[in-house]
Amino acid sequence: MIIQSEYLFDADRPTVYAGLQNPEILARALPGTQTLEIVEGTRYAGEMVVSVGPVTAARFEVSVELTDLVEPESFTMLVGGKGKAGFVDGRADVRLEDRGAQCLMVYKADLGVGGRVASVGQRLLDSVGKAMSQRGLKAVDRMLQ
Amino acid sequence: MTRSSAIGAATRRNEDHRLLTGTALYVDDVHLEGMLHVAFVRSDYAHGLLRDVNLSAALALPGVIAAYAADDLGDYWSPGPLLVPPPPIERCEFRSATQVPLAKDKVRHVGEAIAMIVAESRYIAEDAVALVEVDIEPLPPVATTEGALAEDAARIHDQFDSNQAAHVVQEKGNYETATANAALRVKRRFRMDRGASAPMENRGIVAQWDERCAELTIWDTTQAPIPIRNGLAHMLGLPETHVRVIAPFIGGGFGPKIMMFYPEEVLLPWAAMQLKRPLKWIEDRQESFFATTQEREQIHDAELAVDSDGRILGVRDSFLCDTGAYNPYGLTVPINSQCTLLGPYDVPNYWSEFQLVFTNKPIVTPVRGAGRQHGVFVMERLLDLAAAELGLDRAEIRRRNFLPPDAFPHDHEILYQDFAPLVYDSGNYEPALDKALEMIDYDRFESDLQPAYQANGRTVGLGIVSYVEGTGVGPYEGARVTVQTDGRVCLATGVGTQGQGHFTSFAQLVAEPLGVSAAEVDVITGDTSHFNWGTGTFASRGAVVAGNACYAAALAVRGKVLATAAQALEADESDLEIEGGCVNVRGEPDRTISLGDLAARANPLRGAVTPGTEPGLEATAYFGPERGSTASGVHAIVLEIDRETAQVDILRYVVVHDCGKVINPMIVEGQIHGGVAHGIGNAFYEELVFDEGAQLMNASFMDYLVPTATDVPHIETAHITTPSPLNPLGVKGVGEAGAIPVGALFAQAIENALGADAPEVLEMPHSPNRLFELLQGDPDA
Repeated sequence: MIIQSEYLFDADRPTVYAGLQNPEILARALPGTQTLEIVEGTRYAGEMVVSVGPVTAARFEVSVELTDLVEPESFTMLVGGKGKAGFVDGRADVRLEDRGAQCLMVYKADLGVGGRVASVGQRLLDSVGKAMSQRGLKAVDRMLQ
Repeated sequence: MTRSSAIGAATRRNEDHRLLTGTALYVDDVHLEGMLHVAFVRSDYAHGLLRDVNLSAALALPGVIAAYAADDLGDYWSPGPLLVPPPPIERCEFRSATQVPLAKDKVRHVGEAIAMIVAESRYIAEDAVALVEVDIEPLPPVATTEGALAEDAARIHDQFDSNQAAHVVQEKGNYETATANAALRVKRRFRMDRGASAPMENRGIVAQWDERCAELTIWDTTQAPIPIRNGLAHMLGLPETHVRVIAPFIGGGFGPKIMMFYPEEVLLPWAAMQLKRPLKWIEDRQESFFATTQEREQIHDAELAVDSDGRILGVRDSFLCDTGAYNPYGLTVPINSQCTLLGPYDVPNYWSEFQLVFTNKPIVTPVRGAGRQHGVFVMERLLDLAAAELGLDRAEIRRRNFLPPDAFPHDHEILYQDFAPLVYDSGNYEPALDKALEMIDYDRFESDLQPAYQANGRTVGLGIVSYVEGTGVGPYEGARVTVQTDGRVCLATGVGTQGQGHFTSFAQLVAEPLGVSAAEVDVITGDTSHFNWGTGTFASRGAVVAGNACYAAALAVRGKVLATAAQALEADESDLEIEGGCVNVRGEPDRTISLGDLAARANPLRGAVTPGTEPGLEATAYFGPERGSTASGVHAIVLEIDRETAQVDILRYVVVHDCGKVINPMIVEGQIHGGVAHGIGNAFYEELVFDEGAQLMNASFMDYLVPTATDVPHIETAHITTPSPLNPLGVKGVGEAGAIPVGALFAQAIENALGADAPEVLEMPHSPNRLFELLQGDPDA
């Protein structure tokens, strides 16, 4: 599954970049996140609860790692999630661009999804994924204000 | 005997009362004291190394009785048998890798069983499934048929150096030299995708171990109760007589239920013996999409060469066939494709090659049609394309190439799936085509009807295709017929029944020689304690193989009835007739004795049974044909396309079918109706969609489209009767016929509806989506 979109933050680029390194703010970018804690450096682990169509309130153990960090321009997010309803595994490439006092985030996530989430949730997966990412970024934006 | 029970009469079905009043026994109706329930942990990954299975949290859940992973099975863990070894084809390389009871070291498709939970209820068992911790290290999956043979493809079975499971070449004549001066060659790539068998009743098993009697009883939704019994007895170290397999009423078989041994089938009996408690497992619908075998993924590159009159000079075909993660069913599916491609036609030169490939998808075994669809699709599409190029009528190109009635038996000079040469026993194809053309109003369609539709802005097309169906293969089946002292007749046979009407058509075969009505024949199928020799219900063989055994046993009993009656009535056997449950001396209505009284006389409490004879009015007989009999038919359709929604509406559907002598025309028509419904699904609706991770994307009836009652039209049928010389009854099979040609039929009709500039339809299933793309002029469509 590819989720490709962009989001315009009401904050400048360094603020956005720095914010996304903070697990508390990063957790907001991933809606459904219950906990997210630093494991080591830029590696995080936590728990998410997600609903996709007939798969409701599925609990996932998630791991997030930020790599290829180029401050304040870009980074890659490696995401892994595993739960009884299946798994998610993949990466998101994130680029930040100046837009005056604002900052445009361009992102492309390439996620492999398996198990029940994929086999019965597929019909809704794309739209849920897209909606979740935008909702998450909106929450991050608010936190940065 | 009442008229309505005669062989050939549309006798009402004996089984319907039980089916319609809910009193028929299905596996899930079995409730035993102390019964426990089973659920399975299945792989979320298509391909991966199985690092660890931790059952401790599941075992700690109250109500959980036991949990097993592969290592807990000890010596009992063993890959399943290769059910069908490859036929002795000269150019055949074959590698076998069969399914395992629980994955060990590696998982090879989504839904593969990893652990088994036994609990007081299914609810608890399912909760415990969620507590099992499975550690899988993902490997790159092989998600497509073509991808399986790529240089860098991950290897699914480490013991082989590639994912090629087989490479087979069969050849007749010499395609290259014979077609050197062909007037026309048409060459295309054809794709067929996967579908599910989607039975109304999923699989299910109940296993009961009686420790005191050392007897194991298993209720199983299998099409092959006797081989299951024999195999389980062997695996569990029990005498065959101490294992009873009952295949009760089953809500649809369609092929995947002949597969053996499914993991659940070997695990439940074993665990029932371990735990000394009865166990039940009923497959849920989602499991069925992964854990029950599937079919149909093939890619053909085929070429047809014809002369300027449209006569076939030869066909050359090279195809890939996906067998999924394992290949327990050997080469049956691709060989059916290879052989059925030749159809009802005279093909003097044929070169056909296929590669069977392993992929990280659920296992492929025959599903109604079992590869025959593919052959028919390729051949019929090539003929359509050739006809269009030559400016020849599509019915005419078929007529010109039909094998004529005096060509039988016709040897195609290649081997069929039953290991016998592909020799058509009999056939008469032109009358079926003529009948179908007449019924569908072919002559008026293009001249009058289609232009009239067009004038009204409607997009309507006609399709007409021919096919053959290899049916009734050996090795054998048997039956035992007993006249009881109450005058009723008991018939026991080994094949299982999944809705084919065996309780009626087999009863008719016994009723006629014994002068009773079909309703007076009690039929027992699929219970090894009643009859324990045989193979199973598959390949449209029940009527041919078991049917002839029933008939032979009835004739033998008839002989005993007449001999016993001759003594009782002091008459000559040749003066006796059997009618209405009694034997009479012809012309002397007072000299009569009932079958029940004769049965009592044949089993006396005093006196002696004459040496050299047997007690009772009972006989057992077997029948095994030297090879399969070839049924045939023509399907015709008129369908309308809604250009806005890309939905199709079937306006007419005609089937003219030849299955030899018909035992019960109502049951034959029912089989055809069901087959056509299945075929419509395969042609236009049903497709299992996998993503690049080999994850199934539509594992529910919300997303997997089966045709509903409103999608299945009224089907007009007619019969042509060309008896098979290979069995005394002259019958041929019909179970798969309805499903086989529908993909080719839809393709032709869609092209015909869209007109001369229509893009070619070269894939199956087509679908509302694909049709929409076609209508939009998608160059890839």
